[in-house]
Amino acid sequence: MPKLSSCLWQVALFCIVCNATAQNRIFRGKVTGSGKDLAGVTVTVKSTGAGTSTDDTGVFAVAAPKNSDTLIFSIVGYAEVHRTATAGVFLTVELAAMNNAMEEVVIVGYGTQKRINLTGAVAQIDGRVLANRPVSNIGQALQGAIGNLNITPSSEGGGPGAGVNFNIRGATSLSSGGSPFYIVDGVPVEGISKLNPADIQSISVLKDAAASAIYGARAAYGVVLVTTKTGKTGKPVISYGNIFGFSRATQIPNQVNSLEFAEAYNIASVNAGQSPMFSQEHINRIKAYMADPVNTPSNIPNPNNPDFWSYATLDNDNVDWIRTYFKPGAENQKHDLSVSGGGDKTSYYVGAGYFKEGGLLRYGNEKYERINLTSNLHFTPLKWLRGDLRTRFSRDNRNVPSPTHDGDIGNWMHLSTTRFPNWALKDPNGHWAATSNMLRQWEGRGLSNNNVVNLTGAIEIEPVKNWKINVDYTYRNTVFKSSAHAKPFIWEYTVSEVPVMTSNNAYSTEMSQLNYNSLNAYTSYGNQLGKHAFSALVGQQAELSKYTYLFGMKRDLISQNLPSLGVATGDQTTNGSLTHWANTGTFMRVNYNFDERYLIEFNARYDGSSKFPEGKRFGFFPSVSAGYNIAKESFWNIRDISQLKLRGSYGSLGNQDVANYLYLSTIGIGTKYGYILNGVLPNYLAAPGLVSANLTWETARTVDLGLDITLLSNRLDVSFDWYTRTTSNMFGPANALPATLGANIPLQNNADLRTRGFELSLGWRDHVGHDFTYNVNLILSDNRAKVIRYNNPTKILSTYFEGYTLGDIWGYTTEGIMQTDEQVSKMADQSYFWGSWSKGDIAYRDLNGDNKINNGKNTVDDHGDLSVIGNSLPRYNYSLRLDASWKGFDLNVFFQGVGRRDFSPPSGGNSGVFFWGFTRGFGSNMYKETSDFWTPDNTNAYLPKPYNSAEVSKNQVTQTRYLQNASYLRLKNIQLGYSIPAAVMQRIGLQRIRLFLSGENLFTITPLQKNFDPELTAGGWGAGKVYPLYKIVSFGINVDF
Amino acid sequence: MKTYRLFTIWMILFSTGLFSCEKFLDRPPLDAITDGEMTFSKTEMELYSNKYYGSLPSFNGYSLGIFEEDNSSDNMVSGDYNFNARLSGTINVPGSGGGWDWTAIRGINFFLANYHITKESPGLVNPYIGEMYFWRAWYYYSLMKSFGDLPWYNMPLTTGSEELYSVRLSRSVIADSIIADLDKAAVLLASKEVTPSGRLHKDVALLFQSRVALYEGSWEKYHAGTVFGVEGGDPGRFFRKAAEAAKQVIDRGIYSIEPASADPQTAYWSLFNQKDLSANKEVLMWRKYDRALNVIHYAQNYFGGSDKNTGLSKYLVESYLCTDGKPIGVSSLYLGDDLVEDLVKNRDPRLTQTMYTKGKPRVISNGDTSGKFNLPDMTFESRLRNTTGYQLYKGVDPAADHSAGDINAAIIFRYAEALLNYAEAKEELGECNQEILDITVNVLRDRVGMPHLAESVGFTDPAWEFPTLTPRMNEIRRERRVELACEGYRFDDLMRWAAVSLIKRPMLGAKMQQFADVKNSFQPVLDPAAIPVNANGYIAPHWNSPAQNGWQFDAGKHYLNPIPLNELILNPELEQNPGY
Repeated sequence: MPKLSSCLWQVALFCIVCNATAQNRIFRGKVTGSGKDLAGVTVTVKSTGAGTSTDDTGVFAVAAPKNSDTLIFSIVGYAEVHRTATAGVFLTVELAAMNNAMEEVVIVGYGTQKRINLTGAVAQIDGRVLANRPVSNIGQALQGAIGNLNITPSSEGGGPGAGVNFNIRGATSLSSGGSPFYIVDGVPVEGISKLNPADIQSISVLKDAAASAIYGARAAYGVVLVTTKTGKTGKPVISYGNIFGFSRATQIPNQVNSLEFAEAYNIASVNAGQSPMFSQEHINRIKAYMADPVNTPSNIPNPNNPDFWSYATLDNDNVDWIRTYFKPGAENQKHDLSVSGGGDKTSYYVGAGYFKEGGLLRYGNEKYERINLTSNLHFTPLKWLRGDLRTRFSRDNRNVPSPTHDGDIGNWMHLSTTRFPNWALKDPNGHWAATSNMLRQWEGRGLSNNNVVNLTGAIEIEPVKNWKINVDYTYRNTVFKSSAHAKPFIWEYTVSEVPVMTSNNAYSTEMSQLNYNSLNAYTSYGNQLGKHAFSALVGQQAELSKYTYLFGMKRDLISQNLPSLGVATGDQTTNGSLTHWANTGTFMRVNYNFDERYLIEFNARYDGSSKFPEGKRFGFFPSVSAGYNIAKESFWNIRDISQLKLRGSYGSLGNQDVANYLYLSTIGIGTKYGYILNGVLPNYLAAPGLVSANLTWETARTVDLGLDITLLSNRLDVSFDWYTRTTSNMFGPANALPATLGANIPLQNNADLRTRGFELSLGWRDHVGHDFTYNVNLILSDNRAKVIRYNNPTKILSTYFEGYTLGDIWGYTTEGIMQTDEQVSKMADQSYFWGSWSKGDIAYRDLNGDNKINNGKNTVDDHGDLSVIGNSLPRYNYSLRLDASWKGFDLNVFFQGVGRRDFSPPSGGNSGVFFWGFTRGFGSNMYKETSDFWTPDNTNAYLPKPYNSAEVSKNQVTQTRYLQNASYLRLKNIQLGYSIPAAVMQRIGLQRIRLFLSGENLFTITPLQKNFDPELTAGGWGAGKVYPLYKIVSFGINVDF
Repeated sequence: MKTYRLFTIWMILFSTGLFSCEKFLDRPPLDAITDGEMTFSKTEMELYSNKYYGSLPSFNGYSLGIFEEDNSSDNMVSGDYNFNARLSGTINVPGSGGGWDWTAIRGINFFLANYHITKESPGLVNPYIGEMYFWRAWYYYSLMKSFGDLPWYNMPLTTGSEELYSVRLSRSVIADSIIADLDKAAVLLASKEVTPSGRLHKDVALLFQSRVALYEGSWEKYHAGTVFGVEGGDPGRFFRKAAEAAKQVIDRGIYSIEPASADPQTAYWSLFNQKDLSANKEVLMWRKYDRALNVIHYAQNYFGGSDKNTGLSKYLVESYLCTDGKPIGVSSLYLGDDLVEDLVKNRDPRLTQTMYTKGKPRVISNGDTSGKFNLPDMTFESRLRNTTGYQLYKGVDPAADHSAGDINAAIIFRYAEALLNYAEAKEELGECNQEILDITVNVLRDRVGMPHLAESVGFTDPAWEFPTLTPRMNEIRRERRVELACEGYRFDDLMRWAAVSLIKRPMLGAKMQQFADVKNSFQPVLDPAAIPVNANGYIAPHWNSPAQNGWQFDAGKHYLNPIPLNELILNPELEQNPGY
């Protein structure tokens, strides 16, 4: 590669030298547009790249070596024009006004619409935004790209093939998923994470009810519409692109050393009324080891069983566990190849992609691979008949350490926090110590793969001009397979180096199959009569989904080298499940506009779902939207504002996103209950739960008001939407009921939630001189949700109540850390938390003046000293994208951030370790970031006095002092590319070569405590205990043949 | 024409879709039955009952099972003074949870309210119906011990049930209902001989009934006149039931206190580390573990290897009689506690079978028995340390295979309890005599070769724990403490006997002086400064805590748990327990 590029450079240089020696001719002319002279038009000589711009009267003059040449005329807001000019002949050129982005065609449900005629809230981005990002998942590239398309890392965090969560416009429903509805090329899909970004032409996000209503039943919380690339008539284009990337973790907490740990732990033990855990003898051994790790044993034999090393107690090693489990770097690569083109009757696009990502585990090989094949064929056999055959295949493989080990350890980040620094990594003989669990990184494997085959056949008949009949059928088969090998491995070596094996020896495999069928049939008619344009569409969809799951596990493998059920001889377990659901819907749309000035659209869908009982299955979801394009009025004479459109919409949508069969009281059948009866592991029946037989749709009503402005000669686009979405008859718990009910309180349609928010997008595009063009896009969005109806008459704070703003954090107000005995004696009665208090503990503020710190009756009316101290949901999501190009160079910089979010560190157990250090007992640890705790010698500390017992929780309740500001600004992507000049390319017979350097998550600004990544404060094993996100530096090339 | 035909095709497609909808949308579950489809066949009944077995006390994971429950008492001393927040007086009224859990009761009531539709013959299904009555009693007893008065439910409630807002009925009524359920269970359950291994049988219901009745009888008697007293309480009624039920078990004649080993020095200890108890005549019910089925536990990783932040208390150790049948304060055989070797000399052999002493095997590894107990693990980290200098030996299996998971059986009900319940109930009724002592307490003493307890007792112990009660009652209670030590009975006993003075004593261990000469033999070396000692030289694990001078147990409050705050608000008819 370097050889080729330096060769290209020489060619380019040679050309420039050639040009300088040639004799120049002069080309003159005048440019007009929209009936007037156009100033500032860039005029470029195609062969040389030399250029100029027109003067105030539209006149230009430019020199070129040849007598005849092609001139290129370009200016923002007008279509680019290529003209052949002859030296000495005065050329007159008229440019056609290309309105602007408003002219762009936007994909909407069951059709397309010109942006100028949109009346609903729809945002669309081009596939190019996603291309060339070294991410495993399209969602990671979409983060921040569209206002109020909120994308967050999943609870597993980063890691090979990590997923993300999607949401449109904030809180949706209190009890069900509320994720957007995904459509790829007109067909619903379960998710879009398996798509290859390189195959994507565009992504539309339908945000309001008006835009989504045509999808009715499943689109209550917005629609993500993906359109894949198709072939264009013309010469075949072969494109190849690749990326090679190197990843690091975005942040890694810093564990303290053994001595610091031992001293801190002893302080916490004494504070808790216990004896110090580390004796002087033990501390001396730690010191000795730290002074000379090579010649000092890391551990001593277990005094009671001297054949074994002591386990997790008397060790004197010095280990930074996170850095021991995780290595600094991983690699990834991506290759995409596509061929597209077409003739009179057919066009085609065929794409293939490969992506591979490694993980950060130091010894455990982790690999995620994805293969994509896409083929979009379009036929026009007859003038009135068109057909499409779309085939999409994806396969992903995940090859990771055995999940049977993960079952023991949670995740490696969790495991690292539960190792004290003094625990041995290797025993004094140099074998991996039992405390290290290191062999779990490579002994046994977890393999999984997911194959998706999606086949769509579609025909379009146009019997009469503008009347179209469409029928499409899709079959999708999703097969998931995984296996886990619990391989016995050497758990530890005895002091005399005899290996001790673990006992778990089993192989398990599971397989699931999802068969999805969708049939769409619809017809549409549209026409334009003078200034009246109208269209209508009506159709029907039916969906059926069937799911089968199989699980098998067998113990005692004869050979560990052939992990399979076949070589296992022991006890076996099998399991399986079957589910199915179906939807039908009838949909229609009518729209009308007068002169693209007055616009109105009506959408509706009548939907039925198998998830509800007979009689409650069907729902009707209508919407209406209108637009008024004031700038099209004859009286409009502000030249700088070329578009000014007001939009408004109102509509309702259904949500059926609940589990199957909720209206039935099912009795689960369990097998192999872990209690031996009559010599075997018995089967059992679960007790039936409560159901609501009347369960039906949630209804989400959205009012959306929008404004689109284009101004300053089409250079600035402003789009603003304000919305309020009311989810009514939401699935909420039946009531706050006494626990004597003895069952989970069933879902009922009895709660209302209101979400309000806005999206603002500003786009500026311009050029400086004739080589430098740039655009800047700023997106800002926000939303807040409030419960407006909930069956909680006592307004108890333990569940939702009317008036609750989602994410509100109720907590105590911190007075401070008590520094004197006088402060301790004067503090309010804090016995609600704990019986005894002393210096170094927290004093809470007595907000209600009763001299007792408590939560009163824990209700809205009597909440004692609790108050709302923050909100855990993100506010003011923003992003800033900067694209610039100069000659062959292009630069993209993309920042994404959250303007405001509060994070209240959890306490107790091992979930709060990254914030507090010592929580209680197992799971406690100590990091540089958690070391600033109160002692008599460090009274100015940030954290209170630590305890090594349950007493610690008295200082760790939710409170103002430790509320964290989790807002952040992150450089999500920066990319610098260079395209070899066209002239050079022509000589070597290629259309395009672009080389680029790219960086992901390169830096982050956040006031949050440094043990946390601001995007990963949650985690199933405790706050922040997730696989780190990646910081990636990569380079790649795009070639068009 | 062409247009017209296409339009027709379109209309057909469209309308077929519309009319077949409702049927197309009928998608019932494919692999689960619904409550309406339960036929209450024998299999369904058996399967329905199975899931409740997990609530029986046994080994799970790394827990020591019943052997660590006495941390909530004056028998064992956890390093965490707050091990039991009621004893330590630090309990707070929780917002929700707090043990106020009715899930099991509802599941059982669904069964009991619907099983009548069964078409099976009663003989076939009665044992499973009996099991369900047992389970309701089992869960209700646990709620009653925790909260006292309760609402009584015999139907599964729904969201609209008025009973959700019921008042609490007197515990006396609840106890009657539990006893009535156990009467039904005893009738319906089959006898032990014909019951599949591991399942509940008639005698378990009877033994459990005697436990419940004795608990309620003593509660009503000893809390009378306090805030926990029962209005119109009639302890005698419950004592009679307790005696009756226990006697039925005794009269079965199939159970006996049979030494597993003929040597009185190991006979008692060897009961608690067996892998298979199916032939044992003392055990009414036990839980089996099996490596082939991967039902294992890890209790032995602590047992014998180290201790688990606990240790036997000075008070427990002192309650063992001397071999002359007299207490240490009276017997001339007692050698004092200056040396641990002297302390255990001439004592009830159950002492050295409950507490580790020098030379006892710790681990038998590959036939190598050299791993011997030398000194308690007082110098280990807090999770694994012995807190008192007296280390638990009962339950230890030195031959356990530490690398493969343990399969030592968990005893759930044993005959000794029936004997002790019977003796105590009879004494409460004023009907205890030599004959009764000879078939109860003295049977237990025979196993370990201790002299018999005489009807007259024959001595006055200045350290009797219940000086206001009869000497015989004190000795029956001592026998109960010693025989059932560290098996999880003591907390309930302290509660029902209203033994506040025992709870409030500062918890102590061995005399530190015992280890002065050998402190360099500890592994790792003993740092005496790390072991808290009280003014009299006794190890005081809680010395640096608020429980330095004893737990802050409040006799006006902590005999019961608080009802969660939310529940009081959701059901205004519920009243909070006294003191909270």
